[in-house]
Amino acid sequence: MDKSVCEEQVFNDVHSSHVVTLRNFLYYKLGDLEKAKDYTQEAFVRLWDNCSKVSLDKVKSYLFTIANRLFLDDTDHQKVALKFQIRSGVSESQQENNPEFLYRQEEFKIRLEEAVSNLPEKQRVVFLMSRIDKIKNKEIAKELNLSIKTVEKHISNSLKTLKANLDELNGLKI
Amino acid sequence: MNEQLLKWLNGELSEDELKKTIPAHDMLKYKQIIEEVERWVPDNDSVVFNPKDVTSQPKKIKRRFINPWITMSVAASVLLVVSTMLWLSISPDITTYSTSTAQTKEILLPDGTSKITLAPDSEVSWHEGDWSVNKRNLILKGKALFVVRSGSPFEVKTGNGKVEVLGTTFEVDEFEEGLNVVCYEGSVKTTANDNRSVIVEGGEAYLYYEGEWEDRINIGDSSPSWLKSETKFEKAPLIQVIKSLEKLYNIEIFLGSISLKRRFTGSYPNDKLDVALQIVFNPFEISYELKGNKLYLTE
Repeated sequence: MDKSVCEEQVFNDVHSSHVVTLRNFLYYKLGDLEKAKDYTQEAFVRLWDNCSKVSLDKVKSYLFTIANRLFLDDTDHQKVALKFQIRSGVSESQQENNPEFLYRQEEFKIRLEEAVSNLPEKQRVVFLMSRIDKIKNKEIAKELNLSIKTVEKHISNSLKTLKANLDELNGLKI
Repeated sequence: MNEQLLKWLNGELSEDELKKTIPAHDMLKYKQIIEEVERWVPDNDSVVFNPKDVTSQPKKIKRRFINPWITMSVAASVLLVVSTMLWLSISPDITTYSTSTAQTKEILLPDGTSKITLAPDSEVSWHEGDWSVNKRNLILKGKALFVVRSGSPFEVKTGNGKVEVLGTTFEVDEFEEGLNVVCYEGSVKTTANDNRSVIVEGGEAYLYYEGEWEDRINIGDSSPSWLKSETKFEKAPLIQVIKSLEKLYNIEIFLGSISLKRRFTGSYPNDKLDVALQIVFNPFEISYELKGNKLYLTE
């Protein structure tokens, strides 16, 4: 018996496996967390409305396609300025209690956030999905309908651009 | 260089090996960037929304207007335009809830207090205009338990007749060939399509089958057995039991040449297909064979 997304339990499982990834994806694109959350919910509403037409193995692609369409239909784009929280549970080393170190680290974070925000949209999205959400290149390629080569190129180009931008800064955070 | 960098990012190449191809100070910068970004999350809060907010909303169903008059004359096409417009103006107000096989769902009705529980593979719908201070109407396909608060008249329409109530708990099981109404509290009046009606009091059940209302059945339960772990029948036409099995277990039953002129009294479990089949078919000496989700009956 094939599981159907119309079954509430299956839908709940789909929700818990993909909701954060989808929200993050929309955040990388839009740079607006509230909007990212709203569009994520909207994508899931559309999935629920069309649950009988979407098979379980296509669910992830479907959600990304809808999310991308919502992004494209959003005409009210502002300049993207991404801000990130530090992942909870990341351990702080002793050295990090040093105020000067903390200051430089905060400074570095702000510079890097700026540099990341200035990356071309597609590069930025792929790079962050790979590094923050830890999605495999193959998987990113599948969900975003890109070739693996393109995904790899986006990631390495992002990293080089970021480094080049930060090279202008003296002495990073060492 | 690119390839080495990617390998390192994928964890396929160690830092030391990467240092062989790129200068150490570049390496340090790459490492700092990656380490910093990997500490980030857009939001530590993993709750974006509650999935219940999505699944508890009525679906926006898009019904396609099938145009039966497409080949008709101009005069008729004026009529068609008018009726299409009427349809379009009405259809957004339809609210529909449905259940898939093996699923039940509790739904709060628009009066804010009455509730129904849909049995597997059933559907309930209503027009917004059918809920007001002096009426509460809905349409049922399949089976449901109703808990209705007293107030304005409450009417359930089905393919084989309708059920009217003032405030009560009752169950309606509409199947292709008939209609079974069980009342747990209060009383309901049910009218078959041939306009003959019966009053069903609390603790009673009536079956409309093959154009007749049959004798009253007294029930001992205070709620339907299908809400628990078994489904119970009393003198139920075999076809009603078969339809119920199909919906609960998502199987398709091929009747072959078996005689349907028999009644079933008993209950079967809701989660063990093999046991359920034995309980229903063995007493009738009907043999069965299950292939995938198709069940073939022979006698």
